[in-house]
Amino acid sequence: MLQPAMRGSAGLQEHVAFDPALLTPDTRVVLDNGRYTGHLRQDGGFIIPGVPDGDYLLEVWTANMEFPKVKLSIENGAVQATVSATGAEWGSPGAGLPYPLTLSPLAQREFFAKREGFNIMSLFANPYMLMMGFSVIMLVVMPKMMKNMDPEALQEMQQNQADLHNSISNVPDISQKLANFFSPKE
Amino acid sequence: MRAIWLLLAATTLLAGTTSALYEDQAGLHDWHLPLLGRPLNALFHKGDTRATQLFVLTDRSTLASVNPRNGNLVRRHALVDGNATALRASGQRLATLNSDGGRRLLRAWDATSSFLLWERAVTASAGAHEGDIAFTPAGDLLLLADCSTLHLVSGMSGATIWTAALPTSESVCYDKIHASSASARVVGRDSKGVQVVRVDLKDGETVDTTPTVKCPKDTRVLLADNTDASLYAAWAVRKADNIVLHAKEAKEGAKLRSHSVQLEDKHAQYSLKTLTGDGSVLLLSVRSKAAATVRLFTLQDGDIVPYLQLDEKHSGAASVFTHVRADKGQLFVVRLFAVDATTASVQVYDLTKKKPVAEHTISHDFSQTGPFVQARAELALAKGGDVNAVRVLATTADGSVHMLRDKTVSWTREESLADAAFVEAIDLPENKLLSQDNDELDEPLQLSEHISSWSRFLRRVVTHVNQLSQLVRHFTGGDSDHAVTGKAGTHGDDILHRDTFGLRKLLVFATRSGKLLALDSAHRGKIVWSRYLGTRQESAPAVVTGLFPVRTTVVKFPPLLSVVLENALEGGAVSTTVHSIDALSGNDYSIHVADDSEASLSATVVYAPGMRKVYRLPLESSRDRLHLLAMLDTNDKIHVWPNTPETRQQVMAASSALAFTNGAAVGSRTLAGRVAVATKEASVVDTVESWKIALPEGAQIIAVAKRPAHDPTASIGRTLGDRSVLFKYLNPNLVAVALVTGTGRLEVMLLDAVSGAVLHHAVHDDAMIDAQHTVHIVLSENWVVYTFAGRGTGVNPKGTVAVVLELFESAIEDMRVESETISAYDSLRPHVVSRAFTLPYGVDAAGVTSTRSGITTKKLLLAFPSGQVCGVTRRLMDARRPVEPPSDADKEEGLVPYDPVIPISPQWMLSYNQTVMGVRHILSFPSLMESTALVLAYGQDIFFTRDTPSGTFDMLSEDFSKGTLLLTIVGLSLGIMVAGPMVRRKKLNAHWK
Repeated sequence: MLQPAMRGSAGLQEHVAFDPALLTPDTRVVLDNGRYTGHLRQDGGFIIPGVPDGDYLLEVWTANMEFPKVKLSIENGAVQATVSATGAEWGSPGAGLPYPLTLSPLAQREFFAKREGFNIMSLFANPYMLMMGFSVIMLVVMPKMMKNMDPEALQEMQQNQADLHNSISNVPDISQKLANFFSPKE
Repeated sequence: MRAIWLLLAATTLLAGTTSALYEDQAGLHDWHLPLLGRPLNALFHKGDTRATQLFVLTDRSTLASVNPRNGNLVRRHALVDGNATALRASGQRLATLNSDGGRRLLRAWDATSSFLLWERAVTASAGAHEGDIAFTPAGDLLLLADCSTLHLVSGMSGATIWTAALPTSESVCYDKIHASSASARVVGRDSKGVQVVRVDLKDGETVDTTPTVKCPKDTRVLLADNTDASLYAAWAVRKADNIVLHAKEAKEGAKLRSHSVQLEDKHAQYSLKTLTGDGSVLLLSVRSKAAATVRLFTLQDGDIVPYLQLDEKHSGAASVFTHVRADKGQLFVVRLFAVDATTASVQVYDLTKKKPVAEHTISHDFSQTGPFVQARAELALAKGGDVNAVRVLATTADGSVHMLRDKTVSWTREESLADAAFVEAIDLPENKLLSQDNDELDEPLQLSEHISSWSRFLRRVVTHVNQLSQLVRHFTGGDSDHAVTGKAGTHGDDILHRDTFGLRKLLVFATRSGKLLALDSAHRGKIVWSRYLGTRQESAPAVVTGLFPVRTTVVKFPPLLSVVLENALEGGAVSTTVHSIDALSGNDYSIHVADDSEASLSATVVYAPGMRKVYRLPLESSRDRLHLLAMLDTNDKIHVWPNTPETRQQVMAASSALAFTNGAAVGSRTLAGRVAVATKEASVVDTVESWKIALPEGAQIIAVAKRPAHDPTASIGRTLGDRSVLFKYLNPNLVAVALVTGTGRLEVMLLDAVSGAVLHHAVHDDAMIDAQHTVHIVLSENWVVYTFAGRGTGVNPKGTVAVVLELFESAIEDMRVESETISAYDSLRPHVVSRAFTLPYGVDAAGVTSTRSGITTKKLLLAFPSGQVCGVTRRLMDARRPVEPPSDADKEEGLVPYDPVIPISPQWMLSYNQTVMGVRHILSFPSLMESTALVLAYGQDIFFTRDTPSGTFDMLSEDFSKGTLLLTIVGLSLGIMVAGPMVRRKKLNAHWK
C-alpha cells in the first residue's frame, strides 16, 4: 500500500468546462504561490498531491485565463473550500464551494488594445469637424434667414447690436488702465 | 463588484497615459528566449511514433521536449516543488521524480501531447537520498522512495500496486533500481560493501538477498555483465606500481576476479567509473604529470577483460563517454573529446571490434564554451549493424547544449544564459564616430604631410560623396535604422553602431560559471560574441562575482567591461582576477605604455588571495577614462584597479569622500559602513569602520536596494493641487534593506549608507518568507516600493502586499532645508508618506522603468511566478492616494482615490500571452527618446521589450498616415490654385460695378 502523502492529503479534484485549447499543458493549480502544485490533465482535471492540514490560497497559473481564487481549509484531511478574492479578509470566509472543486474562468485575458479602424462617424464626431460644419451651415443659412426676416425686427436687432457695441466700447480698456497704473506718475 | 468598478475607473483615468500593445505589434519590439537550464538528464526516445523525440530534464527543474532536428523548444514544464531528479521514458509515457524534503513527487506525462497523465506524492524518510525510479517492462513504475521502501505504481493510473519494505540492517541504504523482466533488483550500500535484493514484481516479496560484497567505499561501482543477468561490484586498489581492479558478483559463494594495471608514474591519480545507466563497461582513467589514459574493460563470464586503451591529451580536458544500446542488444561506446582548441572528435566503438566503427571531426570553438562535460548519443544503424549516422547531444562546461550530427554542429542552445547572474547594457558608439571622417580629422600632422594635397582632396571628396549617399538613403528609408523596430538597416549590418533613437543596446550577460555573452537587442537577442572564462579543472571551477562597466562608449575608446572572477586555490584560499574585456568584440583589452610598465594595464590582473569585495568607485582615470575599481581585502585595506601611481594618488586624494557599506547583501547577518583613510604607505588605502547597526540575534538580510546608477531627477518637488510644492528627499546614498528577524517578522529599513543613519524603519509581523514567498525592494528617486507575502491573519488578506514609501524633505508644503548642500552627517530626517496595497499575484522580481531625463511617469515592473512581466504605473503605486473622498486639490493633482487592491489589467502585461519562466531580475535602460524605456527580464528565460509609460509623446504614432497628410496638402494647394484666380477675378469684377 502506498502511504498517504501526508495526513489528510486527499488531493483536490476539479473539472473545468470551456474551450480546452486555451488551457495549455503548462497550466498549474497552486497552493500558496507554488508551495504545492497540481498540473493540468488533458481532461481538465487536476490533483494536488500530498497537502498537509492547514489553510491555503488556491490559484490557477495560466497565461490566457483569469481564474477565481479559492481558500482551502484542510482539517484532518477534510477539505473545506470557500470563495476568496484579492484583498479579502482571510479570517472571514466567503461563500462555500462544493468539493471536489469545479473552477470556471472569470474571463479570458485580453492582452491587446483594439486598433480602431477608419470610421466615418468618428470623423464627424470630431469637435473640429462639428465646428466647421456648424460655421458652414451658418454661412449658408444665415443670409437666407436674414432675408426672410421681418424688416422691423431686423432693424431692432441691428439697433440692439449697435447698443451692445457701444456699451462694450464704453467699458474702460483694461490694458490701458494697467499701463496707467504701473507707469510712474508725472 | 467594487474591484470591477475600480478597474473601470482606473482604466478610464489612465487611458490617456498608458499604452497597451496592439496585436500586430506583438513580437515587433520584444523578444523572448525560452530557456531550460543545464541538462541533468537527456533522452533520445522513440515512442510509438517513428520520429525520435528528445526529452531533457535540467538543473532548473524543467522538463522539456526539444525538436532534435533544429533545437526548437516544443513544450516544457516547470517542476518547481523541490528538485527534479530523475527522468525515465517507456512507450508513450515519461516519468519524472521530484524530491521535496520528505515528499517524493512522481509524475507521468504523455510523450506526445505533453499533458500530465497522473501525479502522486509519497512520503519518504528525508535526508537519505533523493529517490530513484525505473519502468518495468510492463510499463509500471518502480519507486525507491528512500533507503528502505520500494513501491510499484501502475503506469496507467498512478495507483499503488504494492509497497515493499526492504530487508534492513542498520547501515544499509538502498539507492538504485535495476529492473528486468520478472524481478526488480535493488542495490544497497553501506560503508563496508554492496548488497543486492531481488524483489518479485508481482507481489513485492523479497526473493533473495545477497551477502554483502565487501569493498572500499571510495572507488566502488556497480555494473552488470554483458547479458545483464548478474550484478557485480567493482573497485580499484593501488598496490605498489599497480592498480588492481577487482570485481565480484553479488551472489553466494562468488569468486573474486582481479586484473592488474601497470602504472608508469607512482603518483598518478586514478578514478573508476561505469558508463551511464546500466553500464556494463568499466572506465579507469589514470592521470599523471606526464600522461593521461583511459582504459575500458568489460566483464565476460565474470572476468575483467581489457578492451581498449585510449591516450588522452594531457593538457586538455578528459574525454566524455556515453553508450548506445541498439535494439538487438549490441552495445556501442561513444567517445567525445577535444582534439585541439577548435576541433572536436566523436568516435564510436563497437564492443566486438577494437577500432572505432565511426569517427568524425567537428569544428567547435572551445574558447567560447569550455570543454565537454556530458553527452548523450543516438545512432542510426544499417541492417548489417553498421553505423550510418551519429547524433550526439553534448553539454559543455558553460552549460550550453550542442547537437553534433556527423561532421557538423546542427544546432546549439545557449542554455548558459539561464544561469545569467549579471548583465550590463552597453550603449553602442555612433556610426560617425567610427567613420572615415573622424579618422581623417584625427590624422597626425606628420602623416598628412606625406600625402600629396591632391590625394587628400580626393579622399575628402570621396568621404563627402559617401556621406551624401547615406543621407539620400536615410531619407528614402533604405538605410535608416528602423525607427519602430530599432533594427539596423541592411547596410553596415555587421558594424555595431547606435541607431537613431538609441534603442539598440548590446546586452552583455555573465553567468556564475564564467561564460560571457553579448546579445544584440535589435536582432532578437542574436549572439554577437561569447567567451568562456571559467577554468578547465572540474575540482575548482572559477566563479564570476562581478561585472562592472568601467568605461562607456567614448570617442576613440571602445566601451570596456571588467569581470571579477574568483578561483579557488589549493588550501582553501580564493584568488581574485580582474579581466578587462572590450565590450564590442569580447576580446581582451590591455593598455601598453612604452617605457612605463607601471602605467600599462594587463588584460588579466591577478590579486593576492584575501580580497573580500569589489566596488566601483565614482572616480575616473584621466588618461584612459577608466572607472576605478576598489578591492577591499580581509584586512579592510583598499587595492585599486588599475594599479598605477596616478590612480593610487587619485584614490588617496578622494579618500575622505569614499564610504563603503559592508554586508548590504542578501544573506548577510551584519551591516556596517567603512570610510577610506589615507595612509603614509603609498600603495594601499586603509579603511576604518564608521558605523555599525546591531542586528537582532538570528536576523538575516533578504533584500537590498539602492538607487540605480542612472536615476535622473526631472523635478525636485511634487506640485500639489493648490500650486504649493512638496520637496523630494533626494539622497544619493539611500539604501533600503529588508531583514527577517524571526518567523513571519519582516523589518524594512531605509539607511544613509555614509552615516549609517536609519531614516525609516517599518516592521511587519504577518509576513510569510520562504522559498516561494520572497521580498523585493525597488528604489528610485524618493520613491520606495517593497513587496512581501502576507500570511493571512484575521482581517489581513493572504497574498502579496506592496508598500509604497515616498520621502519628502518636510511634511509642510513649500518648506525646504535651509542650506545649499546637505551633508550625510546632518541630522536631517525625511518625512515619509506610506500606503500599503494588495497585489492579485505573487511577485518573483521587481524593477522600475528608467528613462533618459526622468520626466516620463515611472512604472513599477513586476514578474509574476505564472510567467508574466507586468508594468504598473506610478499613479497607482502612489503613497499620496487619498483615503478620504478626494478633495478638489487632490483632483487637481490627479490623485487616484485609495483602494487597497491594485487591479492588474491584462493589457499591462508587457509579455502578453508569452510565458516568461523563472524571472529573477528586471532591469530597465533609457533610450535616447524620453518616452521610451527598455526593459530586460532575466533569471531563466530572457525577455526584452520596450515600454512607453506615458505614451509615445515624442514620436509620431505608428498609425499616423503620412499619405493622408500629403494628400491633404496637395488638395489644399490645388484648391488655392483654383480658387485664387477665381477670387481675383471676382474682386476685379466688383470694382467695375
